[in-house]
Amino acid sequence: MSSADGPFLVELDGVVRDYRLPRRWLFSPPPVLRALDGVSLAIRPGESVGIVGESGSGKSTLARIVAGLDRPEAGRVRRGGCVQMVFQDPYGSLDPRMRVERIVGEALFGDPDGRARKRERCIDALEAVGLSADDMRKYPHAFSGGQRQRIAIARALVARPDLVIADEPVSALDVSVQAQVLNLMVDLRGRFGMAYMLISHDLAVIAHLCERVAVIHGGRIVEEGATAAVLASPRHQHTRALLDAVLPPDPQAAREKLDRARRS
Amino acid sequence: MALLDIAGLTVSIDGAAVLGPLSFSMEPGTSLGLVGESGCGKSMTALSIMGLLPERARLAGSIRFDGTELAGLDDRAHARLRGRRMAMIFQEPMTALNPVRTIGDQIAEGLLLHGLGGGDVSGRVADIMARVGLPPARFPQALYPHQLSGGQRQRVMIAIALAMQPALLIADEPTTALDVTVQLDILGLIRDIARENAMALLLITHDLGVVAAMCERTMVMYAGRSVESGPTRAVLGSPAHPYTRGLLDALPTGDRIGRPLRVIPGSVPRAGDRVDACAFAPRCAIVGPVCRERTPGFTDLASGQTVACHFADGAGGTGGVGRTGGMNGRTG
Repeated sequence: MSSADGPFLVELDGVVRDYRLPRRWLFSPPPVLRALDGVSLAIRPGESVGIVGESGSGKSTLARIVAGLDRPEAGRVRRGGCVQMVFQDPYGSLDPRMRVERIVGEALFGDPDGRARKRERCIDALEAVGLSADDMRKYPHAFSGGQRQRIAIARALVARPDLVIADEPVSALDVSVQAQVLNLMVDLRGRFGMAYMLISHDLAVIAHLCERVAVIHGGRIVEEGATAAVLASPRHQHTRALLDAVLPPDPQAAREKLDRARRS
Repeated sequence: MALLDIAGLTVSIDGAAVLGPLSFSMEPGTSLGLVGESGCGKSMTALSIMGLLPERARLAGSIRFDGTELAGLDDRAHARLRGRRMAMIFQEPMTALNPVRTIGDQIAEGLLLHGLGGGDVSGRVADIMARVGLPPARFPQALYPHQLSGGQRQRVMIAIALAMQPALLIADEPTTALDVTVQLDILGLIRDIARENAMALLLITHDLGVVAAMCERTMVMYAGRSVESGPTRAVLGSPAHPYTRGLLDALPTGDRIGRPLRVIPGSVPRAGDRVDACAFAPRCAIVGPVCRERTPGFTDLASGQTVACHFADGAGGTGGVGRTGGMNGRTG
């Protein structure tokens, strides 16, 4: 991790990432999918940025590049702090054979703190997400989906990150539990002041947490701006399509939207 | 006469109750949305009707469909109804379609199986494919599912269901696995096809916006039972059960950026943890002592809903007088 010199926590400049797909024939060159096509993005300390896009838009590739889990083919990535990640599926992202203590404590591997101090920090992180020291001895299977996502957030939190990347953190959860986790994320930001990069297909989730939003489509950022402004007056056609697709829980409004979509 | 009449339906797996008792009915050509979170029993309800419950599941109660009692019906008799009179669209079209057979074959299968093809099965398949937005010029019948996008695969599923002109179409989270911009196309197609063919539509979803757009009536389920049912306008517009209110309040809406959402504390009970009390009591904001002692009966409200809450009428503790175990969610 490099030292934070500039005003930005993360700065991406013209990032390109290609994936080589399986060859169609044994001797043909593998087709290339350009997942990211010249993406530039900057995140300031303490800022929450939402990345919205559909499947295949490149949003998860972007998250992996920012987290350093993947490298760009071209362009530059600068990172100025500790980055942690929360994944979508709280069933797949926690090792079922590890106790919570080890799952959370793993983020402290290489940290100079002593064992007792590390344990305290794990307990602090668990308590910050609404779990308790008693949960340290348990295995993931003992927890519900929402609680597992709290463990995943505690694992990110324990390393005192400057930036937490959350890739669809609530889309695998029930509606009533989604709200709990979103509230927790807002609450933690208030207490620890970290920045968020929230990846989602759901504009409502992003609007709830992020002051800035970038719309990604076909590997490019097609629109970026203050969330309220983008939602109120979207400029790019794809942003409008995403907004039009949201069905409100109001029969009349929802039916009108469906009728309009059928006519167009 | 009701097309579908479910009374006192219960399903248990390995002795653990996973559904019911559940009662509702549907008239021909009507639409009903089953809404709830994971494990609430909405998919089990669909599988019970279709006769596709897992081997270990035990079903009790009555499912009358089109004058036939489905509970206890043998597999072959059920198979004759399935596809022909009732069809189902599943959430994940990739796993529901056969990857090694062409889409034309899969759409034709039901026609051939039930002897409905007439002379020109291929022509009939082409007509159906055109109707679901897969015009033959661009989508030959010889395509395989992997050559299609998620939305196109779901159109194939709809074509398979449509081929038989069933009286009842069940759609279980038909757009959950699809991108949001495709969702409206698929929902609109399902709605139009159900309307044109006077099919009854039983739509299962966790998304309140989807039922709002699609269904005349809505039934909200929690822990295997109905907690509130009635016209969608009433259920979503003036929710009477604290769970329905909680679900609506928990939705993030753009005008409350950064402010806390109202949450339903705790999480849904696991199957088998069912007790003789209101299952929602541990998470309920207006819980009273009676909620932990008795299962609430059903109360009919002037606004049109039928609600399973001791406090439905605002009095507390008297809900459900004379209505316990009665019909709820009658449609039409």
